[in-house]
Amino acid sequence: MLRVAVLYAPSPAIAEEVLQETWLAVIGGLGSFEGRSSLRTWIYRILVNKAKSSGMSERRTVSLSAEAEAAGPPAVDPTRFEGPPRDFWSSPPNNWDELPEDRLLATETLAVIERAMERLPPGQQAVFQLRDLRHWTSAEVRDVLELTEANQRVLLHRARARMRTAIEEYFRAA
Amino acid sequence: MKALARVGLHPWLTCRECVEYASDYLEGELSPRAQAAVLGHLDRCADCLRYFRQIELTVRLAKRVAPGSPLGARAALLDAFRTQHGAPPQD
Repeated sequence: MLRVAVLYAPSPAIAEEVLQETWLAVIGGLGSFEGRSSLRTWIYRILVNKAKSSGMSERRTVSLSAEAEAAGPPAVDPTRFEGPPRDFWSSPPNNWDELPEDRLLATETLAVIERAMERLPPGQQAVFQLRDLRHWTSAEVRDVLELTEANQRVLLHRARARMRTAIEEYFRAA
Repeated sequence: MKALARVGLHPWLTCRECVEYASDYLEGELSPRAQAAVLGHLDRCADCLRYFRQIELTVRLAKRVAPGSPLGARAALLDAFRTQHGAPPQD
């Protein structure tokens, strides 16, 4: 939840406060929860509203949909393909997926992955965390983060592609 | 999206186009036509097949590093209660 609060709050410290205020509001408001959305969605909507209003009035509004709609780089660096007309891989993926499991799950590898996640742009990080780590449905993510289905898919796609590249580069250098 | 429009006329994807479908493919979000084009490509392209496998593996590995814990949220809640009411709520 802190990750979502941090998207909108002006500082991590305020995000923490927002989190606490949210929990209090949830407990206070549970009696009036009508079950029209899932409990989780309801809680997160409170969180997002509080986080958005937690900053000063002139602060920039984070626009995750703008991030999604910005023409981003393609998932894979275009120089890794031959070019038209056939556009085959000229520099294909290396075979890190065939490494033994103890290498893939080594502490250092997981640290690389964690760092790559931390460095994702905010929209990509939020969608990746909520969809892939927390198993939210795309409808729940769209609802809470106020994204279209297309936005949400683009952010998830880019996040996964970036993370894959980071892992590949790590194993290439190792 | 140009590639998707082309798929309707001509079923072959280039590798560069195919990788852009990886995420949607894993989510089962492709139209039947796009799915057929992707499967047809993966059938004859070991490099793209490897790429798709790596995307899936990336997600699986990331799950192993899920940061934060449910305990953290509960601790924050209890702290907030202590501050406001002077005693933790009944569990």
